[in-house]
Amino acid sequence: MAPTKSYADPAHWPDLFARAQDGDRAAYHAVLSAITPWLRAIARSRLRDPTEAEDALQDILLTVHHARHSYDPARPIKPWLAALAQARIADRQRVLSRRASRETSLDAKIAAGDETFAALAPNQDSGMDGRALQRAIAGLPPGQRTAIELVKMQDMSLLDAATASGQSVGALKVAVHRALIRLRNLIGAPA
Amino acid sequence: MTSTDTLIDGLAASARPVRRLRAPLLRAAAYLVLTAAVVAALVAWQGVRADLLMQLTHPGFFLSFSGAIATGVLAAWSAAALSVPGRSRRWLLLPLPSLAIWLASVGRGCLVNWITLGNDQVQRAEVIDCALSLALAALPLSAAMLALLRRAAPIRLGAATLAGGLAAAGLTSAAMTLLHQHDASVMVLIWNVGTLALVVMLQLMLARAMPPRAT
Repeated sequence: MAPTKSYADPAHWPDLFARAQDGDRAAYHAVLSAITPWLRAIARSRLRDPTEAEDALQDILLTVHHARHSYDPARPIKPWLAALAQARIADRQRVLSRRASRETSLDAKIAAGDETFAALAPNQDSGMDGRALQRAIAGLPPGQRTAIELVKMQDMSLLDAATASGQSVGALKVAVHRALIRLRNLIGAPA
Repeated sequence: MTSTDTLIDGLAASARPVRRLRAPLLRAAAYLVLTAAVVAALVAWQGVRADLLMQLTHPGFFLSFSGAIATGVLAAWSAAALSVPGRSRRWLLLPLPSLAIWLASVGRGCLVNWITLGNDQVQRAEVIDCALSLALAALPLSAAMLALLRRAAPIRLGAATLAGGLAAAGLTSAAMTLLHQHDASVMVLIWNVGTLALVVMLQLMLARAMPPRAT
């Protein structure tokens, strides 16, 4: 949804945001719609992949929502928004760089004669399918499910996951550990 | 409609009025009022040191005492500002001149006393007493600073926590100077710098264990 033309002017954003802080939902919708193209441009300038940029944009909007009490309407809004945007984009860049460091090119593996890929059939996992794992994760208690989703599936660091879930790092470690034990028992994987 | 549009619709529909964060100076002032109450309670319990008025006439003592207080006050303001997204990182520089005065005067005083008097005997009971006061001052001041930082949405959690630890350390150290006589020896350095290191570490550990939800 494109922002209303008059609200696209950043001069209106502080006033709209102040009304949003007071609980005006229409003003909040208008200001979120108005800042989105600007935030999207920042995300796309830092993240080449448009899908990653859009995911980062959604993270930024969620952070704007959680941190909206910290904006002072008497001050310029762009530095406040830019600080939140930079933090979330940096988080995503860390995740992408961790993921890239773990991934290895499949072609390179095959070319190197890696036996896992050279003889695919004997190495295919026949005992477990992804749906069983998804069902097992869905059956976990909420705290453990959140911990597994953030730390293992979204690849967040413990500190980032603790921040996102509002749990302490210690509590999160315990939840991940218990969830893994439970999942192993549920799907019968070796410990 | 894209998923981002759906997200915006959801956020707008769920928006409730929020209490705006007060200006950093006001939040720092509230922290300092709470600190004054903690120190007043400790003074009421243990009494101020007998030679306080006399010591205040010595420039070295006055500089280290006022340097610790100034560091605490300015670092509290700096922490409150750094905890707001978009504020300049240069806020971290605010307490540095007073920190330099505090540590330089403590260091110089120790060196002079070490050379002229030697290291005096420190009674074990006195050390335990000091450690108890230190914990009673440092814990509430660190916890209050954590609350001040968590109420905001610090993006630069490290910088805000460092400034917050400096604030709690400066004020705890000033409170210790008010309560205990340990100015004639290297104990000054141990208490001042030790307090600084301990409280800043405590603050960093608390912040790591309980990160703010918004960041």
